[in-house]
Amino acid sequence: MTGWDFFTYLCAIFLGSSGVILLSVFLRDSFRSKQKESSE
Amino acid sequence: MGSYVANIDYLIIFLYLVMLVSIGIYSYRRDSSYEEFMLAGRGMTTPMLISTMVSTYYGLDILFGSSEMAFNDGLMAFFGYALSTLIFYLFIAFVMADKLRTANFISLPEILEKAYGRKTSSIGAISSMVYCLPTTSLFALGRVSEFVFGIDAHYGAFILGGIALAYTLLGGLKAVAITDTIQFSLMCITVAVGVPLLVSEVGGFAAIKESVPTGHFNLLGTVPPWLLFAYASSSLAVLIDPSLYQRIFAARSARQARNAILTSTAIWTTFDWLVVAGGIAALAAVSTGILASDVHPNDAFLIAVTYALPIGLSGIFLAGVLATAMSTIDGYTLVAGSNISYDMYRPLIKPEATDAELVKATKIGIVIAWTLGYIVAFQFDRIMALLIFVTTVITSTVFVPVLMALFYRGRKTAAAGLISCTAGLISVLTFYIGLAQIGDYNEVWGTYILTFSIGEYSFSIWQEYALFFCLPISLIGFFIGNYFGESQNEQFQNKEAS
Repeated sequence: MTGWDFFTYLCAIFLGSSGVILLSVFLRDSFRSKQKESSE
Repeated sequence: MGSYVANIDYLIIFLYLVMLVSIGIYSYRRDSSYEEFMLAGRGMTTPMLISTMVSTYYGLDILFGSSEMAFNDGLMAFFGYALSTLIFYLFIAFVMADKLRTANFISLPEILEKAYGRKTSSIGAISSMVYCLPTTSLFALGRVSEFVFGIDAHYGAFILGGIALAYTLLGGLKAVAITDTIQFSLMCITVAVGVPLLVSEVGGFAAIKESVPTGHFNLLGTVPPWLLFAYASSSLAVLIDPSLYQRIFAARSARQARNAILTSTAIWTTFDWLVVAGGIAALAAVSTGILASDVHPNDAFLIAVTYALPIGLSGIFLAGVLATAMSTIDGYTLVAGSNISYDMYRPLIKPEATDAELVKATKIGIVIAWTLGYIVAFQFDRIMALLIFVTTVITSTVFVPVLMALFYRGRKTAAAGLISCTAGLISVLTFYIGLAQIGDYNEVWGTYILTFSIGEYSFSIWQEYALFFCLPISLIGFFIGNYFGESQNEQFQNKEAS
């Protein structure tokens, strides 16, 4: 494995996990605000 | 292309499109105020802000343009071109975000209006609107439709672009931000899975190095240095990007805006690298016979990643590609619509317009911007040339006055803004039209070049060098206007005295 391969995999892990984390945080926030709206 | 896409992939794409329209209907508020519609009530959460920043700025022109550049020129696409843009993003995060957000602006032309008055802001609004027309995205969307669905580009752009128009009209920035978050996640996950699979499919970088020209691994490539500098200079446009400004205005605080830009910059860097790596790997796949030899450099990345991904994930990737275009169309069309309503209709036609009238005018503006973008998109053979031209126009016109409005602490006169904007606009049009008349068209680079000699030295002026001439002219115009004009306060005092 060359340095370029390593860099590519590192970027892929960062980008993929960013997508998953942001989507899950967004869904969590949406769920919470929906719960808050319904309780009001 | 059809041979790489299974029925389940088409089903995934269909479900994704249904979801987008549902989000628009969900976000619809009959009585939303202008600030709710345009800036989501200045209450966007950090994940939404990051997603909408990343996905709006990264359209198909980046996906196709960077991968095509990597396919043709190698690593230069990342080290010579993409990195310069990322440096400007850091400048926005650390220097500009605080000033922009704390001033509570609503749009880029409003900065010009407050500093120089309505005449300058009107020119700024026209430049901003032209820049934000969704021409390149609609063109690219049509091209992707041809590949994926086998339908005519005009119909593909009309149907898919129409879906983006529908949810933008229904829900404003809130709908745009929700769809952008989902689109962004799709884009990240599929590119993150697809590119490493493609790289390992062709045998890793060791094998790639064997099968592509050696110049592809030269960090700054074989492009002429001045052209490289011109490409890097075109990145200055990010410092005055109206859509990025709108995201900063929509943040809850300056700190949140800065953090969102910093996170976005890290994501942009990794995304850029993966697209470039994918472009080089696609060339290796063509060289080694994995892909057909007649693949167009523009489409190589799309075809190669779809080939590398398993069934099901291909569908998500293609939905992500459509998402890339649609998130750019919705974001920029929204800003162009607000340029028409808030920056032209309000100050020039109806200064006392109510909130409801502004929202209605913005929705009409969105439809006008989308329609203009659709008409223009199919009038040009070389859409990248149009993209560079439009970027150069907005930079030459508003870069100097906006930066001066934000950072120059001395007196600022209405004449300074007006002369700077006008001189920039006239010089860029003269440069482009003049060079097209007296220069020679170069088929290899797809641009006009004027070559001349002084003594024993030979010089070449490319159309891409426009900013080297137009920005100094705009700056000189600013100081001339400042020297001869009256400041806003002096004008007010003179009126009071008379």
